[in-house]
Amino acid sequence: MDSLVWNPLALFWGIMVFASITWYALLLFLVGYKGGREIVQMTKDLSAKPKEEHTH
Amino acid sequence: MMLMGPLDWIIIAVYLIGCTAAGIWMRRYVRDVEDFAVAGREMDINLGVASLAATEVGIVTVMYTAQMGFSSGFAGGTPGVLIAVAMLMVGLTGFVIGPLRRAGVITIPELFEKRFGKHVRWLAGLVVVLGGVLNMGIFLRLGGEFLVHVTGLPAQYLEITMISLLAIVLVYTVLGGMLSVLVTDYIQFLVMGLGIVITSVLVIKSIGWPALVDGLMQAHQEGAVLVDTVKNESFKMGHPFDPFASPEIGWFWVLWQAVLALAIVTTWQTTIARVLSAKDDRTAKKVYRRTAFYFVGRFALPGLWGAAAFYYFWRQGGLPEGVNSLTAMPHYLNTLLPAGIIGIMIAAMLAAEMSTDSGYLLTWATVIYNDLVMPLMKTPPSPKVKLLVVRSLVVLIGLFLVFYGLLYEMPGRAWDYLAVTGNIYMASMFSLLVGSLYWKKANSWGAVASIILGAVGPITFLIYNAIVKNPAEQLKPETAGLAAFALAIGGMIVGSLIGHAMGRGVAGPIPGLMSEQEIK
Repeated sequence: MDSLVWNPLALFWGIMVFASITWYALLLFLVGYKGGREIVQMTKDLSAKPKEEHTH
Repeated sequence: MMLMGPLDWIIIAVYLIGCTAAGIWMRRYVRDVEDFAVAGREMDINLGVASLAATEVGIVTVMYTAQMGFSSGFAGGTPGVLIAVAMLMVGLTGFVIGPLRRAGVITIPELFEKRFGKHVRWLAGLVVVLGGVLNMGIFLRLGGEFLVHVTGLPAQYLEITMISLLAIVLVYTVLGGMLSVLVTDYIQFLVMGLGIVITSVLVIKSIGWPALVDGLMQAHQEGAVLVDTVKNESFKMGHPFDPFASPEIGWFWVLWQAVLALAIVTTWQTTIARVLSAKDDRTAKKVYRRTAFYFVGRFALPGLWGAAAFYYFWRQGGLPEGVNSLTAMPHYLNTLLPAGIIGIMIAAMLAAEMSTDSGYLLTWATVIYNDLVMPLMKTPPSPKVKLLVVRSLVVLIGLFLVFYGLLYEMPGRAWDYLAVTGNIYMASMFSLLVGSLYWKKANSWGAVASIILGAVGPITFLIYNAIVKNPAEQLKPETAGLAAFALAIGGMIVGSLIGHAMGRGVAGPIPGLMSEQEIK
């Protein structure tokens, strides 16, 4: 039996699966680097923010 | 069964300690309810992507999407493609999320008070909480089941696993609110992403892509059946690639999912909480555009594991005792993953579950506080009391989850349960949001009619199917879901027109979005 890998619908899902794996791996580095910097910036901004009342 | 080695336990312990410590550390920045609920509106793009993605992928997500893959092959990933398309469109156009972020509210019902009056805000808050908390009710149970099966622990450890998971999440969510949730989501996004990528690659490597594709089709064509020996339930593989040819999916179901996808990305409060925490509407739209494709993988990758589980057990001659369509995937992973990798996988799934639970606990507690409790208070309490109220609500919802998860017996597929309970409020909230932001004739009569009618279909589904046990006589989820949208939209239009014709009903302006003159 010929493989169904090149059947248009199977191919569509194949692209979705492999593109997702690649995208997830890529985001690990992209978001990992930039998100870490944003956390540092966010904590700096929050520390600098004036507030009238403090709860602790 | 594969037993976990010392390396696996070390990986899990390091992850749990690191994540909890980071969450508790963020407590120092919480000074008021705005910091607690929407992180002081300081969230930037990448942190938003990490948080949105981590919150919307929990063990529960992995379990139900794998279940879809187990019964429908790759076609079970259809909702993911639909959500990704809807999210991309909303991210490009700013439909709903743009004006919603500019309105400067903390929750969706708060917007409705400006437009339709206080009673609509309260009623909307009630429906949002009812749908949201019921929806979350099965999270802990499914999370516990996954962990018990993937680790090979005895079944009696289910309850203690559920409670331990919740306890860790409660500690940092109660202390640091959205700020802790954002930082822990970031860590969880990384751990979860690593686990999902490694597991997916190993699944494909172990079976081989052509063998899996051809094998699933062969199982479908031969009518291969797997039987849950405990409940005597049988499972057949639907058409693995074509959702319209699959008996469990079909055109009507896909249509419901398409409508639901648009409603999810514009009204689902946990998703919208990231929009409202964003620095501005431009950031919110960017977060949507960058997260959109993540939703394809959210369904397609666990779906791949579920489909592979069907293939594996079919080749093995049947399901092991006590394994069903939900637990087949973790059981399969237990046989596949080597020591060390199984630790990363479990840490990844713990990460997924914790980020989802914390995000959801915080969101529903914020809605109860902001839209149900606060409108009833004549004089606003001090910031300290306000924080105490929200934190207590987080704990109370957590306790509810433990009892509901232990007692409720879920009928049918997990995704259908989640979609229908979410539908309780999504149909009406979608109509209210679109009406309030884009239709000047929308008023409180239409809003009330929409909320009540939108909840009728899904609640009928839940009660009717809990009473009628014969699957052939039960209501189909797509019927209940589509009926809810039709009734909610109809209620909004007809109710508003009647209210308008009678000169009754509240229709106020939203500052910065529409003026008093425009709505007259």
